[in-house]
Amino acid sequence: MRRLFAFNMVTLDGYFEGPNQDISWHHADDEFNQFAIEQTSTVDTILFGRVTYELMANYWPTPAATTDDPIVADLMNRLPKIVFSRTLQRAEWNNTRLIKDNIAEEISKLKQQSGKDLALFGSANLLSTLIQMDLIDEHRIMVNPVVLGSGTPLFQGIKGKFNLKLLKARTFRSGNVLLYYQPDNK
Amino acid sequence: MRKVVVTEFLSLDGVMEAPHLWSFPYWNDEIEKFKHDELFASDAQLLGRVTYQGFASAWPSRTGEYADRLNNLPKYVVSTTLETTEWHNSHLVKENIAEEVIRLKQQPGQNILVHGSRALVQTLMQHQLIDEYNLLVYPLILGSGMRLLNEGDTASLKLVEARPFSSGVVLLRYLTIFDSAS
Repeated sequence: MRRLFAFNMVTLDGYFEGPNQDISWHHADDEFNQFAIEQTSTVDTILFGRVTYELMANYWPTPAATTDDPIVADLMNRLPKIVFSRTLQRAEWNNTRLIKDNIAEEISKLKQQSGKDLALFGSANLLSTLIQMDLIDEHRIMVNPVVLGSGTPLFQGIKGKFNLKLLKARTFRSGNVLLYYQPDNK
Repeated sequence: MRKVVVTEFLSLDGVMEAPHLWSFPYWNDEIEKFKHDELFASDAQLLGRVTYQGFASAWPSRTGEYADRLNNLPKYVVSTTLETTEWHNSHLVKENIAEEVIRLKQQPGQNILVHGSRALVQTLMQHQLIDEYNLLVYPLILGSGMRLLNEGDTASLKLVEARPFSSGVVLLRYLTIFDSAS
């Protein structure tokens, strides 16, 4: 069975974005870019909630993305993508499917197909739903060495306590720390 | 100059409240050694009222190398409401917190250790008085509880070390990068 991992950049105070979707605090250097390429290469479907989808769909197809991050841009544009949204009418980014309902069933179906990993990037609302449905197999959380003071928390609206198991911790030269966890019930 | 070192038990979602309810299952020799070294690198404690009262009811009856040092070190308690302090070698700081902390930092000695003390940490952050953070991140999403870092708290940090312990706790050590303009 395929695994679904959630990858997120967060500040030390737990925000995945600052006010107005600010991500200028991301410590993204060559080492990060290499990591992003390797990680994205292990994936063959990317899942999004609407908000993150719209952000990504407005960035990766642009010439700026192709110039700054040619390899990741190519992967992001080419890979199959799914956006979960009840309000979106169309998903026009290349190779994107829109799913409006039955999140749990759809994701379980995806997991049973053969192939590489499934990834969830950003999408905090969807992440919170999936954590509570026990559908996330692995969390990869990259803690940036900054206390931002305002923004949108990654973990919000989660009811109850969830135990995790630390798989590994990787330190980047930038001061980012990437923490790998899996739910403790697996 | 002495350093102010903030040390915390945190869940992955940043909650610092009531660690006695969730941190014990992960305690092991590695964490014990780290906490021991941290305390023996310090020769004063700076505490907010809530943490102070919790400590003052728990530690005086305990003995051993760690408890003895904790009980004997001078403790500076920041509170506007507390009138008396019972725990051995405690000193009340009722006003001019920043000035008092700067005065302590200018004295010779080892680190000044701040355990827990959420409200005090906020005040110290606002005055740029925290030099280091020792954060033990526990493999838990708690979903509720008071967080260490709150709306309006800001800092640029330099990672010193990320040390995973075998029980799944990760020690993150940071230095504050002080804004030279302020």
